[in-house]
Amino acid sequence: MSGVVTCINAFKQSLTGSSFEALAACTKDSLTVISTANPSVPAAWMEELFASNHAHKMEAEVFSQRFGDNQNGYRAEVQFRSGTTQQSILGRTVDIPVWSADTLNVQVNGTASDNANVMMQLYYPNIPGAGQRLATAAYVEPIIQGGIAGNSRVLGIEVTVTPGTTGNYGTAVALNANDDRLQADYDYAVIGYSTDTPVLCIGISGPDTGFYRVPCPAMWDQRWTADWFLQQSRWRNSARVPIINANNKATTFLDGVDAVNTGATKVTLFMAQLPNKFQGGQ
Amino acid sequence: MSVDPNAPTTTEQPSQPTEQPTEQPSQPTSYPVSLVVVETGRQHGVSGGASFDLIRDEDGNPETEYALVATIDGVNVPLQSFSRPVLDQLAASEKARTQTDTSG
Repeated sequence: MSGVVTCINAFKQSLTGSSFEALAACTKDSLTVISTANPSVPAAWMEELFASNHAHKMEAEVFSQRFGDNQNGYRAEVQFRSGTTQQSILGRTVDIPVWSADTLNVQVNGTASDNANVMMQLYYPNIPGAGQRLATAAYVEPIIQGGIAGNSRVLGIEVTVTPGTTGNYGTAVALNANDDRLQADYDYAVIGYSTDTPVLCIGISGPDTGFYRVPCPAMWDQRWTADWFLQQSRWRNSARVPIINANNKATTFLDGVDAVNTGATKVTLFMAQLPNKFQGGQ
Repeated sequence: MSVDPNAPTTTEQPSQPTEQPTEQPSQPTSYPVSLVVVETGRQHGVSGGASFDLIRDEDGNPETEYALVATIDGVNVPLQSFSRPVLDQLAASEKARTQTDTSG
C-alpha cells in the first residue's frame, strides 16, 4: 500500500460578492479526485479544510453529487482577523470520504473585490507507485526522545518562501536554499514547522513525497503547527510524518499560497534525524 | 483703650472674594504621525553565521515594510510596523471597490 498525503488549493481573486461563486483549482491542481477505478470504495479522505480571505469574513462550501449534497454540501463560516485570518473549518478528527473521479465544487460567499482561498488536505490510502515516505508518530517520537549516540538531533531548517500574489502558488524554493545543515545520507522526519507570518498553505514536494504536495497550513497559533505531522499521525493512528532524505534537499521544494499577500515568509521545518534509513511501513 | 481722635478712620469693608484668574483648559500637545516605507533589514542566518543575506522581495530589492512613526523632539519614534504586501493588497481592493461603486 502506498499512502499519499496531498492537497488541493482553490482560489478566486476579486470576488463578485453577495452570493456563492466558484473557486478554481490552483496551477496543476485539480478538483477531480484521482481515479482508483472503484466507485464503491472511498478513493481518499478529506482530512483538513482551511480557508482565508484577505479583507472580510465569508462562507465557504465544498460539495458534489457524492459529497454532501449537490447544493451546498459541507458549508462553514470563515472569520476575518487582520493578519491571522487563516483557519481550519473542518474538525480535527473528522475525515470525510471522497470518491474516485468525483469532481468537487469549492465555492465562497463573500464581499465584492475580496480575494479568497480554500485548501483541502486529502489522504489516498493507495496510489500505486507513488513512493511517498510517511512514518507514524509512534515510530518517530521514541527516536527523538532517545537521541542519537548521545546527541539530540532535532533541527529547525529555515526556508524563506513567498506565496503567490494572485492567490496561486508562488515561486518554489529548495529546502536548502537558505539554511543548508542536513547531514548527507541521513533520513529526517519532518515533525512540524513554524512561520513568522500565518500562511494558508506551505507545500513540500520532492522525491520523498512522490512529488505530491504535502500541505503545511501555517496558522497563528503555533501549538498547532510545531508538531503538526505528529498530531496528524496520532489523530488517525496512521502514518502521516513525511520522511525526507538529506541527499534530496536541493530537489525538495517549498511553495506557498494564500489569499493574503504575506510577502517573504520565513518557514522553519522541524526535522528529526533518524539514525537508520527509513524502510517505510512504520 | 484710648482712641486717637486724629487717626484716620477706616471703614472696615466686608471682605470681597478674591478673584481667581480664569483657568484655561490645557491644550494637549500633539505630535506629527506618518506612515513611511523602511527596509526591514531581515536576514537569513546561514550555516553557523558564516554569511548573512538580506531577505529580498521577488524583484531582488531589500524587503521593505510600512512603519507608523511619531516625530517627538525631532526624532522619529517607531510605533508599529505593517506588512507592505498586505496593506498594498488592501489598498488595491479598496480602490477597486470604490471605482465599482462610483461607476455602478
